[in-house]
Amino acid sequence: MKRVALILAAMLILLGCRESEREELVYELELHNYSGKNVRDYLEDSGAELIVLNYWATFCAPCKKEMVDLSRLQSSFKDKGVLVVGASIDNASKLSLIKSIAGELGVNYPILYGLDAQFDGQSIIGLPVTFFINREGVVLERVDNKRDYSFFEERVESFLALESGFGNAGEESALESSYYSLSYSLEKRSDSKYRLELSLRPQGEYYFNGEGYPPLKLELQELDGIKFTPRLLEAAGVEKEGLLTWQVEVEKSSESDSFSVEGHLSLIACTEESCNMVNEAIQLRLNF
Amino acid sequence: MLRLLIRFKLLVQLLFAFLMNSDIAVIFRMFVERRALISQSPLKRYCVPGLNCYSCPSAVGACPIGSLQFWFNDLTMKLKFKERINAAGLYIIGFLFLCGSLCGRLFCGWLCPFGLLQDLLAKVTKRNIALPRILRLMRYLSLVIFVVVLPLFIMDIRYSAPWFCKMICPAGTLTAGLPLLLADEGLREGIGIYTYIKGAILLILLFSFFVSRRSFCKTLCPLGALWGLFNRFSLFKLRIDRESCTNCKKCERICAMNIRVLKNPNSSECIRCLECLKGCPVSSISFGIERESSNTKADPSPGEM
Repeated sequence: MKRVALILAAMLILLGCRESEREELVYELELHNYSGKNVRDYLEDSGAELIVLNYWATFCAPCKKEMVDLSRLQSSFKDKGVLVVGASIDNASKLSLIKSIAGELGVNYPILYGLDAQFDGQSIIGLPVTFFINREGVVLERVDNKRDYSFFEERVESFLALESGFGNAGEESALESSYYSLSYSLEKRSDSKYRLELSLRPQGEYYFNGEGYPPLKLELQELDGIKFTPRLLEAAGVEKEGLLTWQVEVEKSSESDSFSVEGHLSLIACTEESCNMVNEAIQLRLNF
Repeated sequence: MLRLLIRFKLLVQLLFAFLMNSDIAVIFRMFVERRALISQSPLKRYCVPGLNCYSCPSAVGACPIGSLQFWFNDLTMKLKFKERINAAGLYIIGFLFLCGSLCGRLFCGWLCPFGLLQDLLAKVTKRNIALPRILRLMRYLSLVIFVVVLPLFIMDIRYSAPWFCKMICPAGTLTAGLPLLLADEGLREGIGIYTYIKGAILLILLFSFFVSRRSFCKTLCPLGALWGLFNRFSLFKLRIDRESCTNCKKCERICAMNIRVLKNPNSSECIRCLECLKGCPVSSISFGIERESSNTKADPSPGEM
């Protein structure tokens, strides 16, 4: 008899635990009819640090599966100013179905419905599509296809770090010669990942590697503690007064915060009359 | 007139295959933009009478079998949430029944692009072994279980459940899965067990095409399974003039589906390719609507043979 009582008590306690867990989750689902309206209007007023705008539809099964992960994302990052916004392209007449589905999936973020299958003029063909948008309304990334929770978590964390201004985001340095101007800047993406943006501009009347010439190359040396992807940058050519940009993903595994990176630039700078071969070593100063 | 058309059957098949997949620009765009794209043609809301995967990048019509499975999914979801169901499924079923009652499995023989592929591959070896009955009956399992029962009874709204498309269809794997995966890196990351299962099925079938002609049609195609049931009753049927027939059995040797043509010309296996008609040295076989006065009979009466 005592044993039965103990078991019953244990079961009651366990059941009780589950109940209170459910009460702690705040159900913040709001539904807004946005037929004929612009999503941007809603985003402007949100006041969030980072918005995860997720396009879905009641007939899209992978979207619905993703929304479960997005709800989990919303609860994890609510205190950090992250707002997940659902954007349903279903017709407004589907409201009660949207409500039922949102309820079933446990959605805890606002949903706009009745929207067109487009955002900022870009058409949306496949679903789901997710946009990461910062405080200023700039689209940081567009993700097509369904993703899982760990993907969203990693992205949100890196965007939050970026937005809070870690490191020397956007500080520019430049190398000048009589033929070219090479400027570069380093941007932090997450703990050990950075993005190096390089811009090559011909000086004056020059253009680089026109028709018939081999491609121009910029090679970054291999270094211990840093990984460049890609390390060898190529381009067919640059026209007069043109601009060539490259983006290099940088992974830093060393403790050091300042690196001097050797590189090799080879190009052919031409004017209307003559051409010059440029084959020189360059040095980039990277401050992480 | 029909005899003339039959000589150009390959051209007719090629024409339909092209027409149903004519949005070729999408294929180029897909590889340039390195992401999965499929045609946005407004024609895609209409079903075509063949296994022409909706997700093939250049397809301009919808596969009726695929559409049916999605409708069953939707039906289950709508019933679960007590929402109004849409009648699209009735159009699809009606369309399939109409095709079947008109001409049975004719579209299999003349229009289906995947059928065309099998016909072309069979020309390489010209071998055509008959498959055991149990394998041939699998197509009904394919139809009943994977097209009807499973899509209807999947309760979870988060899972796309067109089970035939998802687990079996080799036409989809070849014309849609392959190009989309080649173009889109994001999709490649999502490769899972179903990709491997479908890939294996496609590979096995590709080998079997060289050994037994139209082996997919014989063993797995749910569309053919459904239409085959109409062969016996369709408006247009095969008929054999028993008087002129010499019993040389050439028709049975030619038959792509290994049918005993003389015994059962309107068998549910028959894809109405009409090659038996073309090959008959005394032109005893005809395909058309029954005329009262003729002495051709569709099936032998008990007294004969």
